[in-house]
Amino acid sequence: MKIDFQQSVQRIIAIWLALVALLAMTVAGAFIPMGIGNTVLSLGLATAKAALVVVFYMELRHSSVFLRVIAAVSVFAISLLFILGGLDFFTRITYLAPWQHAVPSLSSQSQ
Amino acid sequence: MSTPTENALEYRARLGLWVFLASELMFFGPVFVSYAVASYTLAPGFGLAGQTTDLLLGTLNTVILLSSSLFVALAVEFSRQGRTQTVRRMLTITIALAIAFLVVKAREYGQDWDKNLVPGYAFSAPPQYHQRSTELFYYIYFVSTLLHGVHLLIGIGLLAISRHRISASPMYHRRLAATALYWHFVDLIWIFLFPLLYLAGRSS
Repeated sequence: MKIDFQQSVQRIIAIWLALVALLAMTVAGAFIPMGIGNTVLSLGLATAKAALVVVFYMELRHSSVFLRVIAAVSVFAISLLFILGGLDFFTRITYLAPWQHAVPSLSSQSQ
Repeated sequence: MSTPTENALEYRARLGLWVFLASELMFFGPVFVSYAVASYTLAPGFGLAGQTTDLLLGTLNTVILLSSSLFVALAVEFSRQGRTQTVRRMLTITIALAIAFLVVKAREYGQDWDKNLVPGYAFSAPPQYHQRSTELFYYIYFVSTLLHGVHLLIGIGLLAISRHRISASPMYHRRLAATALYWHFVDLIWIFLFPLLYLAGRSS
């Protein structure tokens, strides 16, 4: 029991070190020009951090199957929100009228 | 009718909290979706707006919040052992870190105000940025960080109650575990807000 406790405390601290290391990687990675890769990397590392928090700090590791199902369903529900909410925007091709600027007009706004 | 066992009671508390957090995720969901839609449809102006936030303070706040999660997780672990004195100490540190987060955030809001980056009132981004996209970025920045801030305040309240009513009873442990779950969730939201608000557009 005592050893279990010590191991748990050590694990909690190790997870924190991993979280801070991942954060350092996230910040450093943001300065390397990779185009869309920057977004993929920073959100990928954020997901890794979130996974550590959920699995170890929120103790999903020791939780019942039912709790894991709830967690999975919430992730599924939010991805539905992204897919259905963003489908139109992400698939629409915008045809510009000849007189429109190619980018949102810089000239009309107060600079 | 038999009384539920301690394990069943803890399971019940965790179950309730997880269902609540699942609904909370849907509460924050639209903020993230609007960010995704705006950054897609208003590229590159929207993405570049991320350069105007204060990366140093943002990173500092992330470290603060991750550390607060560490101490609340430790508090739960010590509470399981019935070591109330240590639990109290851990909760004090957690609350102090949470307040530090809010102080840093308030300082950042002050800077945003001074730099005319508050949308709707004399908004004016530096000339090299696209005004409309940057203003929309700051709408999302303020909505998301304020929403997160409200959750943080509620969390501080719950932590303060946990610290005040400290005891070695199983019921206390259940409540503390539930509070910790909520606190980790607040941390989770920030983990995703940080790269979106502070790191977008840094490489260009």
